[in-house]
Amino acid sequence: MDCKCILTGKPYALKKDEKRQLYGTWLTKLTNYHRNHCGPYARFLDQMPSSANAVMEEEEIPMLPVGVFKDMELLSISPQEVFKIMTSSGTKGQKVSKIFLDADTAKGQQMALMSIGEDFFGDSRLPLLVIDSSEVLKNRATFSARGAGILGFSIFSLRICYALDQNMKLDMEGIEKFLDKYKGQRILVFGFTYIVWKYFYEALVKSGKTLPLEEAILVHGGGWKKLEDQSVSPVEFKEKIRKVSGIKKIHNYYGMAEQTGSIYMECACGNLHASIYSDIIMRRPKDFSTCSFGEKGIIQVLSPLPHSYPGHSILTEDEGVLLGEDDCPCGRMGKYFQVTGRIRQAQIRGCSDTYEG
Amino acid sequence: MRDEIKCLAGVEIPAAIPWEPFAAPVLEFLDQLSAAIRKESKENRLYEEIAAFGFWCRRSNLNAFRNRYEDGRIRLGRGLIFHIPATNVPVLFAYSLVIGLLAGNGCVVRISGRSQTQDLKLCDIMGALLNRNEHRTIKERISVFTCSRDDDRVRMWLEQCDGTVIWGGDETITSIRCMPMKPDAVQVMFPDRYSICILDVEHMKKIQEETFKELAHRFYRDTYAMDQNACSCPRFVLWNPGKNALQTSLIQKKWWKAVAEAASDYEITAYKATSKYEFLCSIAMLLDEAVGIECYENLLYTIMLSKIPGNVEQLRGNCGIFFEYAGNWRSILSQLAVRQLQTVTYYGLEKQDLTDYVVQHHLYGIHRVVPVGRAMDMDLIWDGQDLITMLSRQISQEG
Repeated sequence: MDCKCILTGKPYALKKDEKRQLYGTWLTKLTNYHRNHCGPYARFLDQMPSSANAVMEEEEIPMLPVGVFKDMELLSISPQEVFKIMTSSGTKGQKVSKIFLDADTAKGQQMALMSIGEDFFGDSRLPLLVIDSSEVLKNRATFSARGAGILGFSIFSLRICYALDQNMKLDMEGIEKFLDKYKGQRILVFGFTYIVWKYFYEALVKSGKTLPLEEAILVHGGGWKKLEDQSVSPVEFKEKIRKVSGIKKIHNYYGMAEQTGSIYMECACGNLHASIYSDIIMRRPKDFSTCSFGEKGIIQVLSPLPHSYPGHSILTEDEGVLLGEDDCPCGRMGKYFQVTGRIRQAQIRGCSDTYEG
Repeated sequence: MRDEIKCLAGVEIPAAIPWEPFAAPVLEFLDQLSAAIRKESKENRLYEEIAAFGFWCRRSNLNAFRNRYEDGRIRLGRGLIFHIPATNVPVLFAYSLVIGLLAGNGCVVRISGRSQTQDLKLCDIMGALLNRNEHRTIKERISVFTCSRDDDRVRMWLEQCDGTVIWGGDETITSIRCMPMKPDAVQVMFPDRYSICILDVEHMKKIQEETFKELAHRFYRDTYAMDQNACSCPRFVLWNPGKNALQTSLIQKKWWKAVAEAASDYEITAYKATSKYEFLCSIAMLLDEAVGIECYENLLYTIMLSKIPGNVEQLRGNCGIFFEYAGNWRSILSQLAVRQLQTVTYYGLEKQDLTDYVVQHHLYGIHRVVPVGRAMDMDLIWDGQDLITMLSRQISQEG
């Protein structure tokens, strides 16, 4: 099977052995490709010990730490071929990743997202209610993971309504008009977890209103960090959203700007799933050896889709637990897991930061 | 959110009366503090850092300090010294406080609300001792408190003190210097520094297995104990090479293996693993001088350099990342001795040769030369400054 063929296949059909073998072959090839097309990446391979071999298992593919995309511009294409630059959603003052996409890579990642979406929502195009402001797309300066997420999901629909106005206030009139139009139909609701909570859920609670979204599917992602700070658990999130909007089907997803499209969607059993477009390995802090099922580790993400930049094997700054492979009760093949959160920025010792706190 | 202001030991507003350095009541108090820590250590296992501090302020050590200043000159404290110690170095506040007291001053110490449990525990021990009637006069000279960094109290004490001791890097110093102080207040500042270690291959070839291991352990204490992130922790190893290159490289391998072994109990958290790995990958991609990277799991990374980069003081690996270079120390040291070079630890060299070299070559950096294993030892002379002299005044009587 050629790497490009996966885009026409089913997203959760590959079994363990086959996937592992294919990923070993594909990612070895891709590693060599990037070695020949991205100077700094070649230097990385040459400098690091126990680096790239001619034949590698999936686990042996060298991984780039996600942070290097913040410090460096890494491309495996000529600058003329850049079709789109994706940036990650850093909080204020933080550096953001810059990901360079050519038309092919962008298309591949979009098709992956489409295929994953279809598996969860069916292939009919649904009316899309975006829990965000259309300003996010207008303002090129803030065009980041949020904008990219919205654009990505908008491929599922030709009919889009933005639920928030330019001041991030709930546009009840607009929403009700939109819902009226598609009464009785399935609707896709999409938004970033924190924005859904703060500007949708909390605004609804405050206004005392509810929405008739019983037939809707909510997809949300972007991380729990901010909600964790407010001690909102995933279970509580689902229950409370349901109370104010009637939404029963709620799917979280895990994904990142450094590997857009090939997201990890949460199934009805509450597990995040790796599709054939990407894979996941949990690593032990001590030596980066692979964790067993059930053991918490640092998340590495792998995907055969990134061609225009060397992002096919990335060590993230998140931790998670691999729960199993090919045997989730939901029936999907592939690894399934949970994200336990961002790695805590523990204070280390030393004298050059005194005056803090 | 603002942390509340909390007095952790001593009084709220201490007395600003100058005393003579090494005053008997101060020495008596510190001797008892040392004993109290020793006793507490025996009963409940105390933090290593507190125990080390207790050992440091034992009577014999303080007497040795005092003897250094028995030179017939007349000294008196300055009044009140305001200390801002680094948050991330456990019990550093106590060393700073003691030095201020020894110099003959009342001391105000601001420690961070985030400060380490060791700090709070030591405050408890110190507070209990100060509450004894016999130490009443000492108690009145001490205030250890916590408040947020932008609290008015920081500004207030800066305005009122007769001197300040600031640990913690260029940024902190710059921000403190913007605030008003008395015209004659002294400033003892500890800016960003880096440190190195020089190892002599010929000597290391000759030593017994056990000594070799012991040396690696001492090196571990100099570095990992403080997450290799304090100014005096070596980040760079200069190998004074042996007669042939092969021998040098064999000793290097043996050394790092021994260091990794000595560090085997050091915990690599997910945060340390990812930040170390990111640092290493950036170096691999960006630093032209990097020619050989070795990884001992994620515990220890070493980076061999082909030459000394121009910005050597900015190569800031921590939690077990070492840059190394092999070359005759006499021809290399001046390149490393930029203004920021603080401590040189050494093995197999003569201390005298090192200090002579610094003086004869008019080097800008190198403020301290100590054997491997002593990088973290606190002294009254730190970072090139004689703290007792700076924090006291001399009354001249010439002519």
